Amino acid sequence: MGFFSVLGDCFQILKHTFRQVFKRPFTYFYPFEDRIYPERTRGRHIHVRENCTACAQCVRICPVVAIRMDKEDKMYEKDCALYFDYTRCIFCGLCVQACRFEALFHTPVVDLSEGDRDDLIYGPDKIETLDRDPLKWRGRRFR
Amino acid sequence: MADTSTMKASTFGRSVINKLPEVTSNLLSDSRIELVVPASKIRDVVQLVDEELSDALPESVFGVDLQNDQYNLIYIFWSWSNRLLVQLRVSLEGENPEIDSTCDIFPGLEWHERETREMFGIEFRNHPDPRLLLLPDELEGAYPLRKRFQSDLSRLDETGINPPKPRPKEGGEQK
Amino acid sequence: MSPDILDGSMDIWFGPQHVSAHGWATKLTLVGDYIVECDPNAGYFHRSAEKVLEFKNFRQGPLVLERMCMLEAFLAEYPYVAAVEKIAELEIPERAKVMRTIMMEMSRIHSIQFWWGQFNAELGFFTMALWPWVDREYSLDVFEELTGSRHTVSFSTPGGVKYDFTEKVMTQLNRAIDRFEDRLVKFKDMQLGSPTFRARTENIGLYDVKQGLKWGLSGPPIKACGVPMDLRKDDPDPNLAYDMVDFDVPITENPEHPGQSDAFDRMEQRFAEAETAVSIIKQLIPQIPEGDIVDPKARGKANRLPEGEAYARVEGTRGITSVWLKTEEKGQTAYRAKIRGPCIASYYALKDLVPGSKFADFIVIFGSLDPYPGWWDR
Repeated sequence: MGFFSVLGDCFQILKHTFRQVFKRPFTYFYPFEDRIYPERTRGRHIHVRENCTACAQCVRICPVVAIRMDKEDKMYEKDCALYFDYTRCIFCGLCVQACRFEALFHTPVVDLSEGDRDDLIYGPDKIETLDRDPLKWRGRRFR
Repeated sequence: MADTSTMKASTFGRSVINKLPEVTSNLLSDSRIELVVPASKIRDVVQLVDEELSDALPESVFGVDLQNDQYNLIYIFWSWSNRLLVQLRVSLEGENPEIDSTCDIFPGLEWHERETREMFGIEFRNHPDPRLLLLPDELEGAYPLRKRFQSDLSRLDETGINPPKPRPKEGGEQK
Repeated sequence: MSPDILDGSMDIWFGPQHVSAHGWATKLTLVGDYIVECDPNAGYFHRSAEKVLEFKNFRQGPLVLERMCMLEAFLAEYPYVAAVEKIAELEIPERAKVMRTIMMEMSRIHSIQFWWGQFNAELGFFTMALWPWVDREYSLDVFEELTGSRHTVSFSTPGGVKYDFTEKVMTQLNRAIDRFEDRLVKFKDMQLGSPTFRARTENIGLYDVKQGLKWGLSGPPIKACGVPMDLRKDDPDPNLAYDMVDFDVPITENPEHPGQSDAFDRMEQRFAEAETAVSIIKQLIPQIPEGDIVDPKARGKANRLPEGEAYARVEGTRGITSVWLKTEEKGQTAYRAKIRGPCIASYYALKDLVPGSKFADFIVIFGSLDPYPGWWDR
């Protein structure tokens, strides 16, 4: 245990410390900064109304009856409005696989919490767009 | 493990039938055999399984509701050194059918028998501990896995799709 | 034991709120510091999965099963899919077989990583609790990159698998495996070399093979006695690619008590299991063939099944995991599906195993059998 070996240990420790200082932190400043989700992430859905043919395959395959369709509500020729109940959805991905017309997709948006239970039932206005209210904190605007 | 000591499924079936002629066998594949056992002989057969296959592993016991008070009770044993899967099938009848308990031969079967009792209403005679296993007390005697136990399965009316039209019967006139 | 000893006994409910009780309530009767009676009570997780399966069609069914055990989600859903394939007589593409095997071993690794953390946290070894959970994150990243979900993978479907291996998935997979292989040596040194840990687990919860088999134990608790009982060798599923790899069944033999296993052996066995799983994945990665991942006709065939019965089982992380399935002619749903989880035996074996040991050792015995409530309560 000479003087130099102790000094060497000190430098070892300092080396690790400095490396950590200049590294990116491992944590994210959530919710203002989001983790990068993989492409296949099964988050909330998006409904592309132009392609929809109201074939009800997504409604039939859903194991938890989370999807409700309204055939009267037509925006294009043969589409329908979908209501997603995210209090029931288990994000299994069967509805997206059942859709043959490229009208239903998962998005990497997974933060769905709401203040009210009824807000979790996504109607046509919410399920067809990814726009969300801007998030403000200390005068800065995120999202 | 030497090959000479392994037992084929057909050999095992024959040795059981030689001792108990009431049993019939049904070869499922090379390593799987099904024995159809009358309810009164179940203890003898399980005893034989224990004797013939020294490393028999009791995998499970469960009931199958065939409706109209017909039940099948299925015992599954696995012997790894013989690569042999034995499936015993017992046909039972009646509102609350009864059968002898076998959990003194294989202690591992005790829980399965308790579960079968609460789910199907099949009584096991001489069972040391016939309490409810999984169900809450208020479901005692409801026998949830019987087919006549109705559960509110259909929420089809909530989905907004048209209910399926009943199929026209064959030979009938279509409207 | 004379009855007057029991006069001073005390009943303690271990669980269901206690975290180490895994959601089960075990009633222990103590005399002093020793357990004289153990009464396991299950049912706090009962979700009636077998009844639910009678109302779900064959593509929805695996979703119910993977919720039985989230730690080995793919392993859990696979027996159901295999049983459906047996009845429908579906052909599985070669690529899907290899992918399934890789995922199966991956979920085994993930489950073991989780169990280390859990077991060591119960014993108070918090370093060893958190280190495997770092590697577990890498395993979860593989699942997420591949299927889009971290736990409930929902990967297999009758006739093949749902998601294809991309280049990014392979990078993640290699990274997870390489990292885990590096760290495994470190863990082994840290855990098995620790005198505190040895003192805590050696000669605790001893049973022999014959007794274990009578209780219905399978998997690591039996292999730790030195018996190579493994379905991957003995009764391999035809739709998995275990015949393409060369591996030995991992066993643990302790010369101090041959044919018996204690908590320490079962711990050592989990290391051997993890090593085997890593070597199987490493052998399979270069062998992945090209081709389809799902049989295109399977979707139609799995809608309505012919009448039949099938019993499919795999070697799970905790033991034999199987599904017995009965279908009706043109049935859209299962007529009867019986789920046989491995923890049935390992939980109720406590009734005979625990009496006579100290109360503080109860959690060692309980944890070393690796119980998971979803498998028993279903």
